[in-house]
Amino acid sequence: MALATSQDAAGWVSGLHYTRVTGLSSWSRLSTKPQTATSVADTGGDSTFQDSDLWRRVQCGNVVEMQTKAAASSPLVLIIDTNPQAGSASSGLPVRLSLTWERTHITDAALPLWLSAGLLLLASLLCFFIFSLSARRRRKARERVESEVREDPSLAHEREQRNIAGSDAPRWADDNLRSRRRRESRHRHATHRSLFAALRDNVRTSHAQAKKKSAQKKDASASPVITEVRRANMVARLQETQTIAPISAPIRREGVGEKIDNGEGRPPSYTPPSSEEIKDYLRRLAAERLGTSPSPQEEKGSSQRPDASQNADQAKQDTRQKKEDK
Amino acid sequence: MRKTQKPEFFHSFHSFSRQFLACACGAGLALSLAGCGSSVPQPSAQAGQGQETTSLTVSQMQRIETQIHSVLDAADRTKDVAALSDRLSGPELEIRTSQLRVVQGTNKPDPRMILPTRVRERVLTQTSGWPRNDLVITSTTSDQQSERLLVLNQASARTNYKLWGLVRLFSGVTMPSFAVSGAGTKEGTSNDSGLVSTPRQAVQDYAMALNNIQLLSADKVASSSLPAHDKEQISQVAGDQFRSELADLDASVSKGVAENEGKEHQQFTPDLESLKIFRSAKGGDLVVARINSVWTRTAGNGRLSQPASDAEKTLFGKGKATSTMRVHYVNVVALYDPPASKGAKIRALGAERQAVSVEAVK
Repeated sequence: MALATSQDAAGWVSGLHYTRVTGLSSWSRLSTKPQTATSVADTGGDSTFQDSDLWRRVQCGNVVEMQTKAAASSPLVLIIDTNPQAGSASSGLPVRLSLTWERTHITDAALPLWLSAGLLLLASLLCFFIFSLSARRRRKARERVESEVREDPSLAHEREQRNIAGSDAPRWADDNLRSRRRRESRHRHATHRSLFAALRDNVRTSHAQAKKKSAQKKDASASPVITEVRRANMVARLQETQTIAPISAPIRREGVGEKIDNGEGRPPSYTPPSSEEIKDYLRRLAAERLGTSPSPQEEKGSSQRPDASQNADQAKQDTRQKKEDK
Repeated sequence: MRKTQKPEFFHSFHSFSRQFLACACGAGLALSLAGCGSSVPQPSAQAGQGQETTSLTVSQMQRIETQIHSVLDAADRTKDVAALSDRLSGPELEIRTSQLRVVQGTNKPDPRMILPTRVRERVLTQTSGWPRNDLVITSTTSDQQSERLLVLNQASARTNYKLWGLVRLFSGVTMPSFAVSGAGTKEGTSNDSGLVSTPRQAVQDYAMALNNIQLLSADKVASSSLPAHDKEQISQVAGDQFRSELADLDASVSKGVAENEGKEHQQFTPDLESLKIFRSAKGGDLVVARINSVWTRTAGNGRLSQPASDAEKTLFGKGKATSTMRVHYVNVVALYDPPASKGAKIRALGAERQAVSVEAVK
């Protein structure tokens, strides 16, 4: 079997009967045609098939496999001498020829199908991106908003607004909402911090006040108050949380061993605490640290104390009156 | 609180797999439909027709060169001339056979027999039928002999390429250029026109110049007693190394013969049927021709005519000399027949000459 130009192959078979493979009768069968070379027989040569200079490539044997890379317009043909040893006059042996090739050109009939396949592929890719990735992103965003609303009912109103705007509201609307929410979230944190500070400062308030405060705290944790930064009034907030009594009313407070009597409506002046008061404060602080609240008796005692001093004052005044009477 | 991640992932995974499945199904369907839809391919009758390509590829030529070299080497070793015909033909077969016989007889190597393996240029032709001819120009030999121009010929499809002619190029000669592209060089015909003279006529002109070897210069030609037609033929040919050497040899031999009152005559006859013609890129033709020559020398005054060289002596062997000796030579010349223009002349590029037989004429 040899690979040669068509002219060379024709020259080799000149004057002989040969079988030409004309093409394919089906996808699994070659079509052949017996032919006779018209030119004058040339049998006078001295070269054998295997040794001929004509062939670009030649392989001989009982089973021959040849691979070639040739363009569609290649002038090369395959020539098979089935019986090279018997001379050119004798008939050749039957040959089993199988051809395999890579198809590089698609036929015209298949072109629309290829095009539709391409379109299908594009469409499915488009579907994939729209319904998979985008839906997930949307769902994520929705869930985040819902969870935040659940945490903060004050956002419910905004959510309603958003719903009114519709899920297909422009992106800038969503961005606006998000940035607003971020601002508010920062604000909420600040509120929490101020609340905590206020609570810490008011450790020394009465039990009743503490109770009230804890109730307020619970309310706060249940529903944090959203306050605009620019409109924040710290004094008002402290009033809300600490329940400051009006200045006109007499305030009696148990501070660090100090007795405040503001009956005349003037601001209380500072007096350094006595050593007894410091000791008392330290005792109570220790008790607080240990987590033990002061006993009701102590409270009672402490609350009675101003009464006792009042009684003492009363007694002094009585004795002074008696002396004057005398 | 946020939803757990798991259901979402599964959802997206399901969605992804669904989409991927759709893609795969679509593509698969299209592919299978495409396969079913196409018809059985039919070879076009015009496939490969009209495409111009050289008869031989370079690798094929290299293979042939290797074969020739191996045959020549084997013959040089064994001095067996029988195997030469496998890869040699035409004048080169006769010349090589003779050279081998001379070498065998004299036991001296002939430097002219050296054939360099390195190739300077391959002139591959584009010929659809037979006979076909290709040219190979080798490099200089290791002992700085000039390049060899080889003519390879394939007589028929079932015959292999054979070395038909070998010409030693003249030193410093300018070779015509040939097409090096894929289409190759075209072989010319003996009647190619547009040249100084047709290739056939050019060879005849050169043979005429050889037959009048002493008329080397234009003055000598003009002053000679030759007919006007012959003068014109000789004047078409430029002077060259081969003619000069032959003229010198002829002068010395004729002088000696004249002293013995003898006479000598050399007759050149071109073989016009075996011209190898190659069309160069610039329009001229390179013609390689075989020119047979017979050198007849007759001694006067009852003397015997003896062989004139070692080669002739060896070829003559133990033959009995007579008053007349006839020596047959095979000459191969490569001529360049340029396009017709004012002052253009046929120019010899190289030549080879070898005595092939010597006989004593009674």
